Amino acid sequence: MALNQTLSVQRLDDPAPDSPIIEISHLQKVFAQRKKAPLEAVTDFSLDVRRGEVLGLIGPSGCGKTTILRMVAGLDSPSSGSIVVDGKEVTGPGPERAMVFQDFALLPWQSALENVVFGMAATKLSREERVARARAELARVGLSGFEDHLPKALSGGMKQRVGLARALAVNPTVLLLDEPFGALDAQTKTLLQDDMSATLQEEGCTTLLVTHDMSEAVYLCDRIVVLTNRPARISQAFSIDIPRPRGERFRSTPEFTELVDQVWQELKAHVTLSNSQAVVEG
Amino acid sequence: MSSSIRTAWVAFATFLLLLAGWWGVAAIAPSSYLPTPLAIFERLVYFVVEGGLLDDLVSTMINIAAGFFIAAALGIASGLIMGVSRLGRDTIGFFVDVFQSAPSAALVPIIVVILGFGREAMITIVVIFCYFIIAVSTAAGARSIESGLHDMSATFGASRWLFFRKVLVPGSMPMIIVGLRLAMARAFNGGILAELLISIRGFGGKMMYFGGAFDFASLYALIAVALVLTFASMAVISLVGRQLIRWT
Repeated sequence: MALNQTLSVQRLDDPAPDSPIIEISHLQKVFAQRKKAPLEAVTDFSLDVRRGEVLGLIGPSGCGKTTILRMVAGLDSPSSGSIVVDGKEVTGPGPERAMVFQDFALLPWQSALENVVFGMAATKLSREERVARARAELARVGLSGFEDHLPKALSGGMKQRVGLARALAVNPTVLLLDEPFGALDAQTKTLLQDDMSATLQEEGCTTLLVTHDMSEAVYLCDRIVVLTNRPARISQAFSIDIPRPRGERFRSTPEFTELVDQVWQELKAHVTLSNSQAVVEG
Repeated sequence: MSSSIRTAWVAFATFLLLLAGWWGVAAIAPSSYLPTPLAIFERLVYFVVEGGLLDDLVSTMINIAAGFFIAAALGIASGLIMGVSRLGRDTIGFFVDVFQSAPSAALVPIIVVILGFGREAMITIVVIFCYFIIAVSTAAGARSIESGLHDMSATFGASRWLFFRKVLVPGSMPMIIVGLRLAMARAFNGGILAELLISIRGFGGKMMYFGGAFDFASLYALIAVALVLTFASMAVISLVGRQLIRWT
């Protein structure tokens, strides 16, 4: 059956064939809580991401997947374990990693152009070069003519395009996407996923996508890692051996539906568990 | 009709109603402490034509303006520090919280001993009247900046200076303007009170004089002038402020 070739369940200790660009080993994150037992968000999480790979982290909400992404970004530091990106241990944010935020994180008082320029703060480019590159990136995400608009004058989808332009403008080795379409309506989301798929192909940058949307993960990723309920561990990893970009028609193929179902079957147990836990805790 | 115009009309109508009520009471039961609005208006015209008030007014306004700007500089600076730094909050923040409720007028003798009876003392009193509200609202504004913008600035490697200019100051601006507006009202209070308490001069001195002479029509005229100037100054801050936060 064709499906078995496209969807292969990996052994977790399987070494990645190419040289990994992100090496996460035995990552653990414990949050101290006032007057409460410490909260273990991530436990013994190890993962290698190949150069150019689009890897999806999917898990029940609140499972700790965003915490993992934040640690790769250098916004949170691991309690133990290590993250190595491009041969260097992560100790804080760095210019080789750029992030796209769920709530866009645009400066409301700055134009679309200036928001993209702000992202290049750590680069050595001159002001003119920054502006030129920001214009080019905005054009690429389809926002020519909106350079001078304030975020409040842009739709949600347009705001996230600015967020993507800002991240791409720094030519990152690793692109970190934190539920980038989570705040958008279904139609906008579909359009942006198509664009994102094309952009990721063009850029070829290694991408870590945190999402709770199974079809989004199947549509965009080379590999999907399903996480357990908190503390996050790897439950299962799926390889999707279909060349990218997959094109919007991919969504209406039986293959796609089957893949989404496979991921859901794996995820379901953890989501159910997480909900019953929430009831007990709440 | 826009809602701000509607507000202005309703406020004006209420004013006219109160004025009519006052006039009615003053006409039916005349008394020295309740002169008719017309009598007050006549005094006002007299002051304007005669011009005797202008020097005192300018002198007082200088104190108010100087005190206000010094308090704005100090308040915004310390408010931003309290807003972004834990240490700042624990050090400055604590004293701001404690001293903002201290009875400012009670400090007047101490200020006089240190600075004498001159302008310095009066400006200092204006500063004390204005500072706290500016510092407290600025700090609240700085703390209101979304954590997402802090994360964003960190991931893209913004320097402290860039963060200050492009994130902290604009993000705090709406609350800074609120603070300045409230402080402006307090500046007029402080400026006039300083003259009443320290030395009988300036605009406050004139108020003291007419009050002592039981010339209440003149006193009310001066109070009206102070109110109009306060309101106008606050309106200027609102107008300028609205230009600064057009992104909201």
